[in-house]
Amino acid sequence: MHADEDIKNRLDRSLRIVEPPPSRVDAVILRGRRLRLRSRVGRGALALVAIAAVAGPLTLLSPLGDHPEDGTGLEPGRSVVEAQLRLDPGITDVAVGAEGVWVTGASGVTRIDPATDQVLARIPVSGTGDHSRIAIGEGSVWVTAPELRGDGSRGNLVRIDPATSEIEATFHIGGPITGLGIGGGSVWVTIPGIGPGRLLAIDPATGEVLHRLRVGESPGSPVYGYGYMWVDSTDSLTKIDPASGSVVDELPGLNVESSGAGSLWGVGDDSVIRFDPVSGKIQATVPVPRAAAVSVDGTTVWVLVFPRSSDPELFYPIKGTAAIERIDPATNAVIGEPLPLMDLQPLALSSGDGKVWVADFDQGVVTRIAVLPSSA
Amino acid sequence: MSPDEEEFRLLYEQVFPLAYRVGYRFSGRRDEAEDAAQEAFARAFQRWGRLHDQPWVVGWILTTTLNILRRRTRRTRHAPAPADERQPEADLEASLDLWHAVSQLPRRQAQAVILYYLADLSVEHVAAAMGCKEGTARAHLDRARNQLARSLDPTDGSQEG
Repeated sequence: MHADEDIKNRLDRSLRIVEPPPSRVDAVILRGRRLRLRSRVGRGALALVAIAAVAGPLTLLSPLGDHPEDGTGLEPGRSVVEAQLRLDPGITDVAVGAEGVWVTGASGVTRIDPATDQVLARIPVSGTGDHSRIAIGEGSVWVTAPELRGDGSRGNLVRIDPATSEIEATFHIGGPITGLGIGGGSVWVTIPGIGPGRLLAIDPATGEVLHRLRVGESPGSPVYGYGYMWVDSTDSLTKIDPASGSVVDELPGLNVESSGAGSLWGVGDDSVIRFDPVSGKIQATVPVPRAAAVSVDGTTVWVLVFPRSSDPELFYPIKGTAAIERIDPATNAVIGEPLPLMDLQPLALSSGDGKVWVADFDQGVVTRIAVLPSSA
Repeated sequence: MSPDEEEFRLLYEQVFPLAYRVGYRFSGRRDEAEDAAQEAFARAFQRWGRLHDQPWVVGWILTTTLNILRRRTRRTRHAPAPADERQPEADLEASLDLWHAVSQLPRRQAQAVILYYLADLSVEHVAAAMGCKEGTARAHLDRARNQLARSLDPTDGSQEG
């Protein structure tokens, strides 16, 4: 038998004569970033496969579902871009509230005054990178900093005081935090693993881990709605009692992005899914091609439409094919015309006061959209 | 540049030549080897938060490179015969024979050989990179060694049993 050393030497020697090509690490990193962004959007698409199998017939029988609000529907109106602000590229999330619009990304956190469209504060937060999330609740603004920081730590949760726009506390969680949500008196973060992910409930005052649960693979951001926390993963949606930190239910295949109008809302493959928070049953499937994210604001469901790609495998976005659509929850129908956006990689939206803000990763642009009466 | 990106770039510079060379030996095509190795690194960057501190990250990249090549080879039906531009020297020829023997091994055995001998992973880390138990990885390696011995030296008594 050939000795291990002999095998190794012979394999090594035959490899050394092969000259490798020049380094293209920049192109590889760009491709890696796009894969990250696609996987974030694609989780919803995976969810619909299971949704269609389980609940498709039900939806077909009752296309408008069993929605709790009866109404004559919204005036369609017309979506318009009210303002655009160019910040640093690499924006990954946006949240409206606490007297500001708060944006996170590779360059840290930016606070915008929605009344004047002026930048009120730039808050350096180390380790935000390409996966940072932002949320508002428990009297603070919360930001995840999943990447490595100068102090050698990774996976931090940062609390910002909206009164001063300054960092109040940094809690070291560990692990690549990907999801963030607030509800039931806790701050909730998700951490993917090789296989199942983890959900942690954090005490907003002390940073102490109150509950630690195992959830499905590649968990998304937790959403609070109707007394429960909801966390989707590649194959299921977990319903959690925030007080006890115990799993109440597991629903196959559903994705959740937002809560409002008596329902939970998620995205699927070319559609928006509305489902009942009590029964878990699908109430409506609203066709919206390339639906990527949803934000519910009072009587409007805002839908972010991802751009089309010119390549079936690689993501080469086509300018002008991203858009904002609106759904009327009273009728479960798309209302008005889609508003095209020039964004190449719009990743997040957040709504409040009848308006929606969209954050574009690629160009670092934040766009405010409002609805004007049809006659205006 | 973030510390994470810096860390990734460092690993890329160190490991890309190995991934490319292994891919080339298996496909015989420089363009496909380069594409596969780059795609493997891009997927590693996508999962960098989870991979960066794993001791078997190099094994993951090599395995992914080979898996990408395997799928593409199956799709495009390229003959996976390594070809060199220059005439090999005599002792080099023996090394290339060994590569030929490795390329004839069952896929999982070939992966185990590459991870163990070229990525210098322990059997434990070979198992982690291949997503199997340590005993399974050890069995793949043992069978691969025996098969390589049989291929390279038909008179080697280890072929029995």
